[in-house]
Amino acid sequence: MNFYMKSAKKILIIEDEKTLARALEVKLTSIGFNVRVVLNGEDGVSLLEKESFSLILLDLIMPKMDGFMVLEDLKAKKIKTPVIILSNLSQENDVKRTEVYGVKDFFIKSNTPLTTIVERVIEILK
Amino acid sequence: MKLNNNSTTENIARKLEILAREKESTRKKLAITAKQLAVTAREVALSNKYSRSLIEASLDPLVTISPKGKITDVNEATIKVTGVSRQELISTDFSKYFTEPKKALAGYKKVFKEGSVTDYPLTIRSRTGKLTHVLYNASVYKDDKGKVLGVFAAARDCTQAKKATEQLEVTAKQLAAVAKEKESTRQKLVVTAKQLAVTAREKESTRQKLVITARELKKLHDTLEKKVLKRTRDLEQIRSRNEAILASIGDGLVVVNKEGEISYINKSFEEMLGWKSQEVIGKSMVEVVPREDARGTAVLYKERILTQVLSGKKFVADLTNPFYYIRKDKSRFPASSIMAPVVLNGKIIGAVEVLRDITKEKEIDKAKTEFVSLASHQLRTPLSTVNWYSEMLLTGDVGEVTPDQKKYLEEIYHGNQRMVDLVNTLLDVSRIEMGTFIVESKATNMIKLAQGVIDEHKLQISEKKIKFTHAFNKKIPFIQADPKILRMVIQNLLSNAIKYTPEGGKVEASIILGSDKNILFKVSDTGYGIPTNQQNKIFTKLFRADNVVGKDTEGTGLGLYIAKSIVERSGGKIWFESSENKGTTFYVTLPLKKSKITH
Repeated sequence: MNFYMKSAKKILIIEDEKTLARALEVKLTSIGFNVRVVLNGEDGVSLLEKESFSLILLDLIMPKMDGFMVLEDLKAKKIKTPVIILSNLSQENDVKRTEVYGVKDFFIKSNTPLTTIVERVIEILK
Repeated sequence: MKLNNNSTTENIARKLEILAREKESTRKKLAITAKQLAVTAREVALSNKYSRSLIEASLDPLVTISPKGKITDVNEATIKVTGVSRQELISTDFSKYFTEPKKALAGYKKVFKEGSVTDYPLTIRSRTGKLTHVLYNASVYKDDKGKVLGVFAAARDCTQAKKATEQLEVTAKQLAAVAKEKESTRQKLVVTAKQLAVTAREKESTRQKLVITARELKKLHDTLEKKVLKRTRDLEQIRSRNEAILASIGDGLVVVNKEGEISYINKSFEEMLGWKSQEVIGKSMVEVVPREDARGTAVLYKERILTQVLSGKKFVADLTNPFYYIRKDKSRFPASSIMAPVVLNGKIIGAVEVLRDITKEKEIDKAKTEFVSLASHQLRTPLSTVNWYSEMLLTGDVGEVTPDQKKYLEEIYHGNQRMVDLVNTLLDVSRIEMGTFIVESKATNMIKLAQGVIDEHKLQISEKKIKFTHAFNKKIPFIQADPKILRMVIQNLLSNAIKYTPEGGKVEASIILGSDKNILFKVSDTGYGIPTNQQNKIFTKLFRADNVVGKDTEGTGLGLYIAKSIVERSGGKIWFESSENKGTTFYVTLPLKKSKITH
């Protein structure tokens, strides 16, 4: 844990569901990451334009600007921060749409324990 | 003695005289008799001579035969016919002069017996070998006391007659042959006559047929004229009917000539695109109605399917890729269209395009997808919350929990997991039913897939102390299938077998090469089984058999429904054998298709 503390990697959570965002924030903070949470895509993109992050945990269905638009916008703005999709969408179409942006992973939230997500985050940020 | 002598002497003289006179009379009588005898002898001799002359003069061979069969006399004719001299003939056997001595012998024996024979046929062989066919007439001759002295036989030369007869026979035969030939000829003639009659009949029949044909032709001609008139009227009707149909169909229709110039549009086309018929007839379809792809980029003239159809590059084009047609007012609508060339005598003389505004279909498709997305999202979000927070509590992220609290939290977590599974299954069902599943077939290793599913169930298997065995034929080929869908089949069947088998039971899975180029996946258990009266409902959506409802509350009644849907869509078959409290075996066959052999 100290290893992560030292590095203090910044993770941005873009998730409109506050309780879920909170759970992720608590979990990731507890193991030493520097976590920021925004509740919609628009805020996420504007924050990403100002600050750099090591990883983005991105929801897909959100008000104002959804996850797909965020990905498109980041691509347009050449912001190449790694992305893990955390969504409750599971149709092949949705998965495929995100794959073209080179996302690191696609987790269905209800089917995935927090520990699995954390493990993957650690793996990516190693 | 002397005196008396005188008288005695006189007596004696008288007596002597009488005697002399008597002597003279007798002498005279004798003389007469002698004369008479001489006459008679002369007469007899004459008579004999006469008879002899007659005999000798006869042209027929005459012969007398003794009772012993020896020739006693012959005439000249006999000498001539036999070529044997009279002296040689006399005292020889009569029979030796014939070709058939026995028959000759029998002949004269018959005469002795019966007194006579008539027309007895024999053939005389002369010394030189000449044959004379004769008919014998013979009778016996007797002395004055009636004793048979011999046979008198007269032969009649019938050689000429026989020859004549033979000739007659030959002639008769020839005549018969001629007659036969004649008959044959006659019969042939009869046959020919018959044939001629048949030919004549046929001719007549043909003539009659021709007459009938002529009549029919006349009738046909009349009918045709009527038909032509009727057809013309019908065509008018069809034309107006077709126009009505084309005008009324909901799809837009455009007909172009080989230059791609519009020659006809229907009412729906006018309504869809905002152009009036008179505005576009004779103009290029491709220019009048521009096409854009989904991104809004104009489709170039060369890439227009219509152009390709007209140039013969494509024959029938069914455009499933989404595209947009641009209306007269520059607005656009999603469309699909089917195009076909109009071919006359092997040459493309134009094309027909039928187009459809698929705005509604697109909306429905979108609504379907959105429903599933919405359902997924709305149902899963609260489940995720429960999941994650109970997980955090259980892992002690916010402080240690008591054993009891932990136990309750586990119940919450477990219950929530079941809800998650149910939602996932329901989503699968809706996706299968709505056809929003994207099936990506690829060469799939069925064994690897099954092994993965088994690994997932290891915990349950050991918890229930189930004796699990599997037999996978490592050499089975890859199959063309979508692995994520196929996995659902294996998962459903295997989890059912484990779920519906009591502790300590047996579950066996096998994958082998089926008999007719397919793969057979088999899962058998020693579980509760399916009640016979409910076996026909087992693949029905949401159906659960009575005997398991009480034992296991976690089933959804969707697993087998999903499995069956998937298997059947993949061109395979699914069936089972089951008896209650003994166990169940499920069978799945999947076609191999163009798969590769594994190494």
